[in-house]
Amino acid sequence: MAAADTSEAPVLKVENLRTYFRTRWGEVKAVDGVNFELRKGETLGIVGESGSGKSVTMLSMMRLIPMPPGRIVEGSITLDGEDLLQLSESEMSKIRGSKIALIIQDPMTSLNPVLSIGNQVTEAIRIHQDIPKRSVMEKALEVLRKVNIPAAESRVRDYPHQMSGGMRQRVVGAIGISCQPLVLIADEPTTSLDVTIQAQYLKLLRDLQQESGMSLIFITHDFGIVAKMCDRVAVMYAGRIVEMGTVRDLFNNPSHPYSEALLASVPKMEEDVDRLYAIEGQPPLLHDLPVGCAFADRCQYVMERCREEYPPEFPVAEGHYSACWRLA
Amino acid sequence: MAEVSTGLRRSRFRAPTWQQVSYVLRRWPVAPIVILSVLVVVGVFAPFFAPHDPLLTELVERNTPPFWIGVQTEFRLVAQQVDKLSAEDRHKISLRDARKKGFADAKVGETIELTVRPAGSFNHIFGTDQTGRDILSRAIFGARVSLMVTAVSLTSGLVIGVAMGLIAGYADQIFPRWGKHLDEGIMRIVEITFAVPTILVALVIVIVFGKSFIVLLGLLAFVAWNAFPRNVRAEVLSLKTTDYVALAKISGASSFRILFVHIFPGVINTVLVIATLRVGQLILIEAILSFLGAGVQPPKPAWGAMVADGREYLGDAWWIAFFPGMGIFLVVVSLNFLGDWMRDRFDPRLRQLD
Repeated sequence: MAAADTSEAPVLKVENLRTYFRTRWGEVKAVDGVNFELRKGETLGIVGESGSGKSVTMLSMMRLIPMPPGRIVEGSITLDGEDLLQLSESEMSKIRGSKIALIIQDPMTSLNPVLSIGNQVTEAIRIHQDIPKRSVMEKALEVLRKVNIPAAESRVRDYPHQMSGGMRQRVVGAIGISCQPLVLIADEPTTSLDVTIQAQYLKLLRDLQQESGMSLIFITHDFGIVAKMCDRVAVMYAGRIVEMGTVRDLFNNPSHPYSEALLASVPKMEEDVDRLYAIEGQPPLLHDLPVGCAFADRCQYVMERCREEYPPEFPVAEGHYSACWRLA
Repeated sequence: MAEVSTGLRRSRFRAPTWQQVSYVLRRWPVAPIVILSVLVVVGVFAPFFAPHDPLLTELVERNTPPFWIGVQTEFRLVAQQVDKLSAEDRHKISLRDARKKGFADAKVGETIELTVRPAGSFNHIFGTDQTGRDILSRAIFGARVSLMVTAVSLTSGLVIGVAMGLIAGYADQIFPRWGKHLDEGIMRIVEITFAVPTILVALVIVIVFGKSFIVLLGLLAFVAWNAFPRNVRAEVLSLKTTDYVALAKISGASSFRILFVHIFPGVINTVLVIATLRVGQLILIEAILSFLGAGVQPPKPAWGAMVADGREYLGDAWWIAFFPGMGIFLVVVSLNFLGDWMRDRFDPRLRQLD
């Protein structure tokens, strides 16, 4: 969690990314102009409601959007000086797993039931690195030890059904870090784990990050995790980042009404309320987005201008900006 | 060293209880496995097990019944003249014929005991056919044909069918642009083959290309392959959407790697079950073709052809058709039971049950 080095060039830079899906109701703009940067060793949290485009942004970065019906309309994703959107499929598959990796949501279904743990943990290594066959097992042991799997020597030969959920999630994590990627994306990696295991797993991710200096993108619903894990947060709404800033800035001074409402809907331990706060209304339909701000209909500060024009990014503080007309 | 404790030497073996035996019998397909093992062992080592040459004809011994059937005799009245076509004279025998059969001192008006059929003997356990060939030996060599059909036709059919299914199911990932059409094409071909009346076409092909074992094997391979693509494809379609395939993609695995390392192992169960059920059908079709004269050519023994040979003698010598027919029946039923058992066993929802 050490403060990221701001002087260095970003490891990952996403500019004006737009990913649309063709459906029978029309074009769904799942990601509609997303910009962000990620520095070496930095942890970025991405929060937002379901359907706000978090996962599609990440899948676009892995170039794993099913095409058709999806397509990346425009934008660039620069990883380590290379635009991922310009690469051929075979060049991209050399990047996946080695330079950018993803931990997916459900550990119970993301391991292949017919292959041994050791086999699956070393898959990326065998694909990307040319290592002799006999040292594959050593490598598997090394990776499993890194994610604190007890008795790794006997566990490498186990199959997924012989492990608990927490163990499996650690194995999935081990697959993610096995090739020491520059960027690791964790898509709600702890939602299906119970809280004690969650805490262990988060600590593990943080230790691994500190050790290897990789950058981490954390997709989550849980503000507690964001506060604990991340350096910066991006709040997504209807396919765009509406506010972005350091965790401290954004939590103390949320300047977009949506972030404000999101933070307000987190129950607080010291307050005793009868009814929890909820944001009124529904998120907009992504195939029929309004011209102006997508949040206007649910916003308590809504102005006329909000419905006419999409707000640009207004700086709030150093490295903290927000797309809201109130700041104009 | 005078005395050594005998307690250590006591055998650990204990006779299994009835419950244990019945548990094993319920849980494992014992009878089908025994029958099929016998088929395989006997078929492979046919010359070793067969008591006689399957092609050797001994006319003296023809139509000998199986070993447990005794001599069959009839009483006949010896007459001077017998009208063989008349029903009234059926119990009579002419003097000339009686003398020919060994009753040298037979006289008209006497009743003699005539041996109609000799007794069975252990020399030919299952008896002999109309030309005096040993049925057991022919059945044993006939098992070889069934095994050969299974080994060659099923293996080639399985390889072709599974490959087609895998490609059809995963084509849209390997060839994003036109994979869908490849899938469509393969499935249409499979559907067309379902509409082909196999036996009719087989007969036509045999007429066109002539009778040979190779043609037969090719025909049966053609029958075997089309059971696989549909089921394999369906399985691939569901497996390719699993999270672990997504994870493999995320790790940078190529389409071929995903198909063979991650998807193929998940398909093997289904393939095994279909293959087992198909073997029964193949053996049956081989028998039908041989029965119809389009399969294995005489004098080479095959079960279907043996049944066809015995058909004419069913009234007098039922054993000629019975034993090979029984062989077909037992093997096909065993394979069906085994396939059924495997399907239940490999079904994860049933696996935990007893």
